[in-house]
Amino acid sequence: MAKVARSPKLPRQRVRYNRREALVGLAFISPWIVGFLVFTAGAMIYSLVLSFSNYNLARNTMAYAGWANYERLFTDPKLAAALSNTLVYVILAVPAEIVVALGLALLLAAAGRGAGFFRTTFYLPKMTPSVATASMFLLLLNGNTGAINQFLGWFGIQGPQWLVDPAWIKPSIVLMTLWGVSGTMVIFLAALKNVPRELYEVASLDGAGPIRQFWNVTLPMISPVLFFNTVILSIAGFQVFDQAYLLFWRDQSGGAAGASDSSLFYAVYLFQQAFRQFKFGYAAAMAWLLFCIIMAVTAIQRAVSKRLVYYEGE
Amino acid sequence: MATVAPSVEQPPRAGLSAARAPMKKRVKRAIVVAVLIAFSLVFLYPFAWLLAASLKSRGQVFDNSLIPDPVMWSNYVEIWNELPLGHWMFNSISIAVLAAVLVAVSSSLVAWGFAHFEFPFRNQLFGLVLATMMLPAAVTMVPTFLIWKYLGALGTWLPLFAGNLFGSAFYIFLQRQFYLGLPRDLFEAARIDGANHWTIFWRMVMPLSMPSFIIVLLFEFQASWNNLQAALIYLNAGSAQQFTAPLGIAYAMTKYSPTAGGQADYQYVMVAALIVTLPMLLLFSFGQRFFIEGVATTGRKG
Amino acid sequence: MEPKRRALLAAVAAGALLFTACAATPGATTSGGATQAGAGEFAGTPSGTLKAWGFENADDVGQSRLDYVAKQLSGVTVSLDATAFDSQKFITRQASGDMPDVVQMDRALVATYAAQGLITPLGECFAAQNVDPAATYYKNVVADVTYKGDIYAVPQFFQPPAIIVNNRVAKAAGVAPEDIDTSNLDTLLAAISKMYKEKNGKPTTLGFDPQAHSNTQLWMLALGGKLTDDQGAPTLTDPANAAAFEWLKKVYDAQGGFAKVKSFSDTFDFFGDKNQYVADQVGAQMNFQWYPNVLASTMKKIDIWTVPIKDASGNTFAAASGSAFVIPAGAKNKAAACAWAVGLTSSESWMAAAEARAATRAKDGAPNTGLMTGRPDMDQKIKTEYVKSVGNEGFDQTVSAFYDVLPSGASFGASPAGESIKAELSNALISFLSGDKDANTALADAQTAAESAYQSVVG
Repeated sequence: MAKVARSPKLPRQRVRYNRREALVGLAFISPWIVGFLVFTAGAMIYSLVLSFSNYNLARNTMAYAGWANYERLFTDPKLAAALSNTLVYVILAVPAEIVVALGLALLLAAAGRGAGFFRTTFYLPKMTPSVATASMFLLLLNGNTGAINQFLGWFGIQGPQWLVDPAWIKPSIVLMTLWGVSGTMVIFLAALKNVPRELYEVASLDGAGPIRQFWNVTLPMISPVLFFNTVILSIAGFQVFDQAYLLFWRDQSGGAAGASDSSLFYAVYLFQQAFRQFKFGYAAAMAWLLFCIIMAVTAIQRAVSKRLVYYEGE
Repeated sequence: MATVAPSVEQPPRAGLSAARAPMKKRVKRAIVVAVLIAFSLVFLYPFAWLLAASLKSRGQVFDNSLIPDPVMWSNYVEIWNELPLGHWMFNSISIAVLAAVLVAVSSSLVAWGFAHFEFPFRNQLFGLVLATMMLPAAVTMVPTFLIWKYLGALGTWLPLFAGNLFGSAFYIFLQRQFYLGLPRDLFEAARIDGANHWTIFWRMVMPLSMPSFIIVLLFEFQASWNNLQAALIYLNAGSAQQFTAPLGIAYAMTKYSPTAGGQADYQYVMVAALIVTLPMLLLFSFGQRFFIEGVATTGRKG
Repeated sequence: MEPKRRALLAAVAAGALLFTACAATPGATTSGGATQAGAGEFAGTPSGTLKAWGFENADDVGQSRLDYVAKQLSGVTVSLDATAFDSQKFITRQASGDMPDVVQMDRALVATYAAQGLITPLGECFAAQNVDPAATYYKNVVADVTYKGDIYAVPQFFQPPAIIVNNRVAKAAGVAPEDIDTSNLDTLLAAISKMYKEKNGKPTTLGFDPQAHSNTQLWMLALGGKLTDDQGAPTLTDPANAAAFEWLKKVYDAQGGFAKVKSFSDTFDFFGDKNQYVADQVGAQMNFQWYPNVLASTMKKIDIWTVPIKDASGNTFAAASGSAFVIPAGAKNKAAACAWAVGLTSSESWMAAAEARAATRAKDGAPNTGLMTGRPDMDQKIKTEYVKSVGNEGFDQTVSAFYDVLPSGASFGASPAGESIKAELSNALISFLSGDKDANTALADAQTAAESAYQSVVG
């Protein structure tokens, strides 16, 4: 994302604009301007206003609430649970996704001919709608009879109660996410192909084995992509919704699907507050908290990356 | 990005060394392929399991056997009585097509505006486009609902695709990236020949950018097809026949969940999951190179 | 320049067009206040159009009642929205002044909307229809829909729970049905341990499945817990609730623990030929009155006996939710709405339903287990007329055992935070049983959430 923000580097002409050209250009982008004003800027301002009010949907009234919604953020035990679950999920999921995606990409890069077949194979789960994935894994992850524990049983491992044991709920969702990890893998694969071959040849002449080549050549050369993927996956991780909703919270009254605080994720709780409880003000405050958290995490990742990421030509 | 073509099939690169004996290389390659096959099995197993489960009787869905016995072809017939799957597929396809076409066209227009024209604050505005990609959808979720409510569009399809009329930051970025790679002289020449901007965009830019246009179409079709949350917000209040496919699956999971008083007919849920997945697999089989290239590009240019 | 500009304009204006097109029908706002229903609102001959919302996938019982009441109210045109109740739809329809005249919803929601003034008290309605609710419906059913002294809904159905024992498993383990006694924990635990079987650390037969994670409120009340105070405010931190949690934990721990029980019970073929009683996967299980209908189809393969849930002092206990009809404050045809809702729960309507059900069961060749309507008089009448012995002692006993618990019904209490209490309590129990939180913390967190829901409704 850091690179994204830098990319509009067009030949800068600080000369006078051709007025007609400029108008035509503005006309072309006008759909976006309208959309931005209404659905982004307008909605953001509206959201901010909502977060300082109590909106009564049944009566269409909005009462000023001061900081009450924000204060509640700090006293709501469910919010704390949702936030900590989501953080744990991000901390588990992002490194796992990076490692698996990069590992698969390295294997594909080393496979030569035939890699295309495997790439297609790995990509199929990515095409599977999350609802289908979730409904499948609901059975695959059954603690007693699920295929995954059956598989572990072959190696004498007593598999956990994936979707019931609070300690294993987050790893269960990580597992589902990993099944669809191929998008990240393809990005890595593209990056690996862009590493100049000469570098490996030079390293090889210096007597570097495959492992040292990976650490000294591959990793620095793909570090911008590594960083990009980390940021993108983290942002997505904070907003994980579909799997958690379907596995635990699909029943509107809650409970029956086996939900508890340990399966409550931030986006799910926000959705419930907004569209099950109709606490629009609180939901808006929650959304802004999420926004701040994502911004902060991205900023930290950027700061760290400045030291670690190698940009060509810098 | 200029050529959208699969380019992964290239000789291996990592660990390429002239000093190694070819025998050793072959062994290494065999190990890599073996590991890849093992991973493929892991990735493909759920599909095989799903297909098998969808053909099982109610009591056997949990038995993990990959060969259903007896084979319940009837599941595929009964599901049409059990669930309004036809409606769901029709609704989802309609919405996904509308969403994809609208966003592809509008994003292309906007991207061309940013790529080709000079106007005040252009770079700042484009920066704003990119910044909106960072905005979590949650921030605008409630206000957007209230906007659609104000417009009287609750319970209709509009909230699920009409926002696409205004372009989408990610696709604008993608298209603009492509346009910047097109030779500018071509369009200058056309201008001199008297073509107007609209003609240039419609007759020249669009055909030239077909590969990336298709990427946008496919990406958005998939995104729309997967969109559970919007359907939950805007369509859940309607009758089951108005649901989209993802919402339908969620509904089926509740309907058949035994703890929610439903019948534990998981085999129907599995049939529905399979049927909802098939169009995506079909889409991928036709547009594989676009998907892969699209993903690779966005990562690389990012 | 001209054609180009027009073309561009068209492209750009498309966006604006959408807005203007849609803005033409802005949601009209209404005050929708809690207008106290005057007698006149429900009086008079019902006529005009009645907009009703409910009866999703109406079965034989529902359809026959709809048909009956349609015949009675021949002057009324009923326009039925046969979709499931959805709170978002209810509230947005309220906001846009597009309320149906009568709505079918879960009884747990009634107090929530009553406290907000979104639905009408029906005292006058019952009076206009010459129905005395207290004398007509079970008292617990009336209590479900009574908020601050006013009755807000026309209730239907009370299908109580009991414990169906699998005699085959029980006998083999030397357990008598009477040992499944929830008033005596030690006896119960001993029975569970005797019947429980596992293989490779996985349960193959549960001793007693209380289905507590999806029926937490029921177990709380049965075990002496307290859900709400007189005002309907949540009281989840009541010490009795924590004690009930501990009681349930002992029950689950005696048979592998909650996680294993849940994962195992998720795989039951609950409605099928290989259900848990056929496959001997349970020694006993808490079930509601409709479940014997399911078991009827496998009657020859099962050996069952039913005992009631008992409270600590040994008295029979039963509680169950059900549905009800409410009339929104913004309803335009309240007279017809009232006549329709009360008519649907009239004795003639239920007898029509019983007849239809009997026909269905006869057609399917299945025994008739009766119909539990929410009205004591109807329940008994239908039992006498339609429930016959099937020549299977255990099955006959089961059917009548469910009838025996009917008079012991308790209300979950009408709370403005009813749904929230139900959900939070269940979450708390799961958090506790799965070892995530101790009982007091789990209940305190549930109380905080339920209290907040309560405040946002009444506050």
